[in-house]
Amino acid sequence: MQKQFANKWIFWFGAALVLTGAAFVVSLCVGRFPLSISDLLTGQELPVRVFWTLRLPRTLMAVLAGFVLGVAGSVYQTVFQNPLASPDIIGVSSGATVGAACAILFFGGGMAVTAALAFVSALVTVFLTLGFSRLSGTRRLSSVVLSGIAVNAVTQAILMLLKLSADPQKHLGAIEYWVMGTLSDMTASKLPLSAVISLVSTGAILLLHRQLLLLSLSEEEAGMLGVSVEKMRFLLLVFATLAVASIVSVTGLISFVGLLAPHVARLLTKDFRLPTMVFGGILGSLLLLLADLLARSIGTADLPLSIFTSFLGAPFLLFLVLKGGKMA
Amino acid sequence: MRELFLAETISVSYGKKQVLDSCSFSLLAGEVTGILGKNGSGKTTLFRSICGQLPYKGRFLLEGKDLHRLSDRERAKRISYLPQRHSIAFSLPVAEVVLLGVSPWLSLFGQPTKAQRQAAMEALSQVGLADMCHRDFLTLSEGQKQLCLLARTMVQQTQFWLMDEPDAALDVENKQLLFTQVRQTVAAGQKTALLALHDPQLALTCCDRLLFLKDGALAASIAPKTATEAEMMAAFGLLYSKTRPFLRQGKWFLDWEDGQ
Repeated sequence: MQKQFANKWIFWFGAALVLTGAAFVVSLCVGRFPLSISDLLTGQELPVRVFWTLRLPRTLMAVLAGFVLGVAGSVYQTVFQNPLASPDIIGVSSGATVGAACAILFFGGGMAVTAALAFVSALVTVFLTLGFSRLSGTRRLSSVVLSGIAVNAVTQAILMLLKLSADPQKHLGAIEYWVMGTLSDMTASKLPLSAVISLVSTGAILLLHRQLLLLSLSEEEAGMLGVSVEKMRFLLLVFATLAVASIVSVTGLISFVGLLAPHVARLLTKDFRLPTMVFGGILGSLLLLLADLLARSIGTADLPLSIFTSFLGAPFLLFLVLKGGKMA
Repeated sequence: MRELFLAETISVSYGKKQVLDSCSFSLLAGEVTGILGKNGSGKTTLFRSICGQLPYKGRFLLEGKDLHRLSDRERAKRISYLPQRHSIAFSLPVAEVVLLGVSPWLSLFGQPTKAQRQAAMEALSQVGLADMCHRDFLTLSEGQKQLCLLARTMVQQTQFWLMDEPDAALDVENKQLLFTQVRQTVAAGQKTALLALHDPQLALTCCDRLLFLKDGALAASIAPKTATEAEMMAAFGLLYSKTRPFLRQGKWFLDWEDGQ
């Protein structure tokens, strides 16, 4: 039985890593400027420069972003005990979008300022949500969700005002494009800060996986197993938000990965522990690598990522749900 | 026997509605105490107060320590709670569910030790689920789930077991297994257990002492082993007007009128 168990993990991790590795290599070679291993080995200047400054950072970001969104998605779904929970539920996405829209409208929309404002705005929105829920004086999860809905509504209203005041020729398209996410602007200089924040936060989440497991129980049951429910919920949401904000501030919003990857991991492994969280992260990386490959291969210009994450992910999730339903 | 747990004039209100009114009782080490009461009598409210889930007036003292002053973790090292219905919604191997019981003894980032894993397996053996340790908890029958949670309670190594209708989903055989296990562990470890029960006959069979909760007040407290027939009649009459306790071969039974 134990051996069967180990075999299950070896199979799923092996399959996911092989596919992700293959997608990684293809991603390094495919693009507007095709690269081959022989070009790189012979040391031709242009291919080498393209590889180090554009292609490798972009591919690494796809792996990192997918992994982080996959792991953070698992946190939101567990903490809110809702399989449909995503960073939107406490305002991460809407907050980041308001920040990005402000940067585009008032600060010229440079990459650095857009990333910085999106990151700060996402964090401010989440802290407002969590702060309001604390003011309610109850430790109930519903107060966080309701605060999230209220703060989300306000940020959406602000976003609408910003869009109304935006120049349709100049700014509106940029805001909409940011909302759909892309890795086309990814350069080597953008990667380190985002990588450090997201990896440290994701590492903390993985270290706290037992606490997360306990938070999946009712508040009463978790409390009686020694968890300070409110504090731990706050801590994990802050880490997940830091991780997501550090990614989307650079890439723009990427839909569906955070929702899909943890689900698929749980459906495939029929488990809910640390290996499944990591497996969900790897699936997130795979999904984003494939989506980015399509985004830069179809059409003459880079297309938004969210189109492909949704087109690739949704049918697969539906397939698993239908298969699961038949088996049950 | 030494007093392990003391509830002193506990009152709980939901808004203007008083649900528990100055309830005082004590629990002794090595004893299993059953609490009987009709729906809405305040049993769950009492349990939730002990668990720190509801604000209350009065004091709960466990081995002299005020529960109100304990952190969640410290409380969980002293009290384990077996809910009427579990809240596990995700797939987990049975052994991992049992290991959740050691959580209060682990540091924030800690993992169960080899000894704790072994203790979990022993607990599973004691409740007859050792063969199912790798199975998905969600695929167990409701009775097996309850036994699995009993194993979790055992590895939590607390002095005070709080059980809310633990027999709700169990068949006769598993009921016997559960209560035998509870009685043996409580007696051997000089622990104390408080069980909310709906079945008065079961309470008579498996409890050393019975508390009768009526309309939020503690109406009676008796130890069946030493109680007289008059005391038993008076106590049971408070809740069940159509029953008559009688003694046969040193054991109490309930006779229900109208052929019940």
